[in-house]
Amino acid sequence: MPRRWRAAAASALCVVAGCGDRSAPAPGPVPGPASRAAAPVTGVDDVPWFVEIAATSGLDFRHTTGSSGQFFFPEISASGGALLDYDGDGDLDVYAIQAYPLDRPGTTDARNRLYRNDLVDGVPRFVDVTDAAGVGDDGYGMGCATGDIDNDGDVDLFVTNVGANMLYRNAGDGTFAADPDAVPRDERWNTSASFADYDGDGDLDLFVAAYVNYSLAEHKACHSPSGRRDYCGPASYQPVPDRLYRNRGDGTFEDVTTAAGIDAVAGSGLGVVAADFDGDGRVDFYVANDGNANHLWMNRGDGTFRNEALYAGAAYNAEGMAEAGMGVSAGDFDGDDDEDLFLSHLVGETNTLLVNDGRAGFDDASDRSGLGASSRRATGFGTRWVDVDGDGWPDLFVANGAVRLDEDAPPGDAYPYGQMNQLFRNEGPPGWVFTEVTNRMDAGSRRVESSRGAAFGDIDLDGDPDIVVFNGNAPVRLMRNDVGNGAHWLRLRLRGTAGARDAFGAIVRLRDATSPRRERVSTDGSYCSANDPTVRFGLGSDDRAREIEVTWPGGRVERFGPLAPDVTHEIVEGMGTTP
Amino acid sequence: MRCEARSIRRRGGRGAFIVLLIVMGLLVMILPFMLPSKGPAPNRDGAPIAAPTPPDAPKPIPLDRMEPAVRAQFEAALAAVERTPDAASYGQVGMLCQAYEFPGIASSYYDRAIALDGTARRWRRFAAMVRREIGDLDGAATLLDGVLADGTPDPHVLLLAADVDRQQKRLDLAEARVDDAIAAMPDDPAAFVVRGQVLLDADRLDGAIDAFRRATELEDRYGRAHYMLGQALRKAGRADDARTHLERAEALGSSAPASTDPYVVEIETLRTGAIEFLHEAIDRLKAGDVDDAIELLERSRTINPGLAETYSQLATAWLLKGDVDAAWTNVEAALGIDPDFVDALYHRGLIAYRRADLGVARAAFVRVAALRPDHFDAQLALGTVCEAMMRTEEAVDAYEAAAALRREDERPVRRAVRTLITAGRDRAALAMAKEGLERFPQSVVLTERAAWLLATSTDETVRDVSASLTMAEDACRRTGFVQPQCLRTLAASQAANGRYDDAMATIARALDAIGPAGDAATVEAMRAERAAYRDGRARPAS
Repeated sequence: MPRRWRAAAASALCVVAGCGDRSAPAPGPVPGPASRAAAPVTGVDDVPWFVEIAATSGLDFRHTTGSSGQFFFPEISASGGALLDYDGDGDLDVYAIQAYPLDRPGTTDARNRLYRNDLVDGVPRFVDVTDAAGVGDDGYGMGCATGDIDNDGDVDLFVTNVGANMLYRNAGDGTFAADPDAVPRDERWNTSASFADYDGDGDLDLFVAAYVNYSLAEHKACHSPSGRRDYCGPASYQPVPDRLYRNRGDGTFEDVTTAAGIDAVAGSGLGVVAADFDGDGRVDFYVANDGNANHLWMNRGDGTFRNEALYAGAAYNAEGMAEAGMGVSAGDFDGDDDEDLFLSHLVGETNTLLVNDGRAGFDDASDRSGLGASSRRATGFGTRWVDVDGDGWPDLFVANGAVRLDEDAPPGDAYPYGQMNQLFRNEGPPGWVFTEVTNRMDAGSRRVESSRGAAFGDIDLDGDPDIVVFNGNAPVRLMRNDVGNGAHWLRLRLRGTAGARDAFGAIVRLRDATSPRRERVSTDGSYCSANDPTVRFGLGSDDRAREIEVTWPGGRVERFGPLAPDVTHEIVEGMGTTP
Repeated sequence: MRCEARSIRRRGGRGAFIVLLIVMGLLVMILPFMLPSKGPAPNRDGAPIAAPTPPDAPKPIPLDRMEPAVRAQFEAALAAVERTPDAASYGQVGMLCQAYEFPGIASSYYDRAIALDGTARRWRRFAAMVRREIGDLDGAATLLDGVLADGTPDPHVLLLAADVDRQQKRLDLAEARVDDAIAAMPDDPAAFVVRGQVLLDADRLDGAIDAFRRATELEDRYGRAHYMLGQALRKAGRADDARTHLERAEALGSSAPASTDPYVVEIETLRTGAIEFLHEAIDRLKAGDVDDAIELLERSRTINPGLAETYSQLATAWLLKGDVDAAWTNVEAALGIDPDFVDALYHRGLIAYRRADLGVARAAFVRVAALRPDHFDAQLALGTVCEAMMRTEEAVDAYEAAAALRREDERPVRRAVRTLITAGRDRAALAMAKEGLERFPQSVVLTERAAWLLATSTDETVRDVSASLTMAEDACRRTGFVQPQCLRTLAASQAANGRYDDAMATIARALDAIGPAGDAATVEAMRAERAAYRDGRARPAS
């Protein structure tokens, strides 16, 4: 039997129709792996919140920056990866981005890798299927974006490189076809990308962040503050404009950057996220720029955008300083029904929390949230709002890694750019402060490595989000979430029918919650990475069936449910009730 | 759910804490035998996992990652520690670490210094700075409280403490401290910015706006203060006022007044490496070794990114290499640090002129001229830009200012004459040319220009065809009758005196001299003049 038709071993999938499938069985929490069955699910102090299991799960990818000793700038910036269900079997597979020696292309067999997840009894087992799937991109890899660009029901893959990008079209049979002409060729240094239907025509368009005007021929020598050769920062090169590509409806794209106004201003773009920041029903884009003002591209509804970051308080930090924007995530961390922003930054700077006033006006709350001081000692990259402990409030994970020689690296360290990743728990109302809980992760999750991308999703289908961390010059790490095991959850896969099939940008609100809570369907954010689009609500100890309200792209509002907890439901546009 | 989970966590936590204490005790006993002598222990995949460091042992300094000049500074300081392991020696190493951006290591040396001399405010003061820098707010607050309790409060310490208090949400204390600092430094814009931040966090928007506004009044070029004022005004719903300040902030960049805190200044002066690289780079630039200069300047920049001079020299170097964009980036970086940095402003003007952005160029040169009225090049360039913009009076003023600054330089006078001729102000042009000839009697250009005016002006009070011929012949003789413009002027003078055959021969010679590569408009004009002479007219029909 083909894998895509096999039932997911650990997931019950419930298709919700009309007013909701009330007759659907209400299974209890999906049992986790046997090795964790004995863990007390309520005593969160007694178990590590995350346990690193990449090696034992067969995820043996090791990244190489291709370090040449010449300190070529891209070496310090790569790479990310994706969590995606490429074979449609209900569990998440891993795509890892690779690099190579920049001055010696073609001298290694380094390629991106795809690992299929053969989940057995809630235990992930990864198998390298790169060759069979045909996605071994051999560019100098930076990142990727995922989405169903041709609305044919399977997830396609866009890979960004230092140099030409590549679109891989999913054939639906476990293979992809590289389509170099689908997206206009761009030989620049491309980083994060986002699929979103900005023009509301029912297909996914593509925003690609670009970094700086770099080529080996223009490579510059830079040095650490104490004088040793080191990697340059973005100030050594010219920032460049990002690109916007419009989907023609057939899965091919046209460059509308200039027509849309996106090239009105350049920036050193590293992170991008698409969301409706002012609640007008249109998709906006936010770009985290490294060392220069961030961009907030507000959608004017006529195919054009205007950068409102300066006035909106989203260009700089509270003190009016441009920071080294790396990763970015948008989400409603404080239950006021809008998209707040979190940005990861350079050592010595704070990571920055920008709280939305609901009208795309932002307030820097880094200090008062407790996220400021605790991030000064590390350089953050991949990050995402994600409710790791299942209490309903989005927490934050930040993948860290230095870009300049790190002072704490021991003498003789061959790659002295390692830093520990960090985990912050959202303490919820009324203070909305965050507590660092990094030491709650196991030793494997606290390795001192040079982390870059991070992708988030429920890999073992036990209802809580796991994390894949993509390291520079080091193995990939898979952090299995064990803290969320005791909490109930609701997991939703949305399918659009009037608009794009993936329903990116749809807002799901959990009804009759003690505080308003919402999630947005997306795969973008973080750093050069793509995430699981499945929407998940942590319900804590509340095991009641719950009703949800979905605002679909295009504005249709529907209600579904009550939905049984601890089950994955498929939510189809047009099958709910109108409130 | 949240409360329940927390109560469970507390109950579970007590037991875990006891277990943790036992484990830590065991680790303290066995770690020295388990760990390698240097560096953190590797985990099973070879990646280091952070290992605890004894509290009183300063962290190792990565001397292998330093330039020789920097390493020498450290080695001297470490030798002093070896000789005299007292608080001052450890503190000095801490300062070096702080200066070269090893804040964590600096903190460990300061800790050692404080342990050796608990009464020394100096090391607690420096330690507080680095603790704040690495995000250890509790540590910084404790140190600052101690420093402030120890004697007459230093307003800079009060400001630092107020900022830490603010981040720790001790807003009443922060406000009291910042007010004390302002009482001691009533004209310090940075103090008002801290006050604004405190009041903003306390949700006292009007007070914050007043404080930020006061900071901008004290220092109008304080970009960050304008930004914070703009954002506060936006939150208050005062959109137009907000936009004004935000746009001002964007124009100024992240500029802030240089710190007057003597402790900050002391740390900055330790970073001498950047200055050395800068000076060496300037020497290389003078010698024409542009690539070497750029590398040295990049080193200077990475060691100390706060030197406007470095960026300005980088702009010069990139201009020499023909990379206008790179030059522009560095100019803007220099001006972001110091908006009144004259060299950078001058380069901004040059690049803008090269990009045909005449408005920006003029503004830059005007600013330079205002800041440095004795800047000859800026006055000359301002004249050129204004001339291109047809701002005749302003151009002539600038040229005259340049001429006054450097009386031995003929260029301002020549360009002023050119500007006046182009504007059709022949009488003024002739007066200027004659005045110039008094100063530069051997000037071929001024002689030729005067001859041209005397031969071709439509102003009868200017024309003197006889004098024109004498001067034109003089200019041509001195240039060997090969300089096209001299020959052209001589032809015009000959025609003005009715010698059309001579004029035709001379203009033909001028056309031969200018050759096929000559300026097309000039060639065309000369051909028209030749036709006029052929027709027995002194000038072509206008």
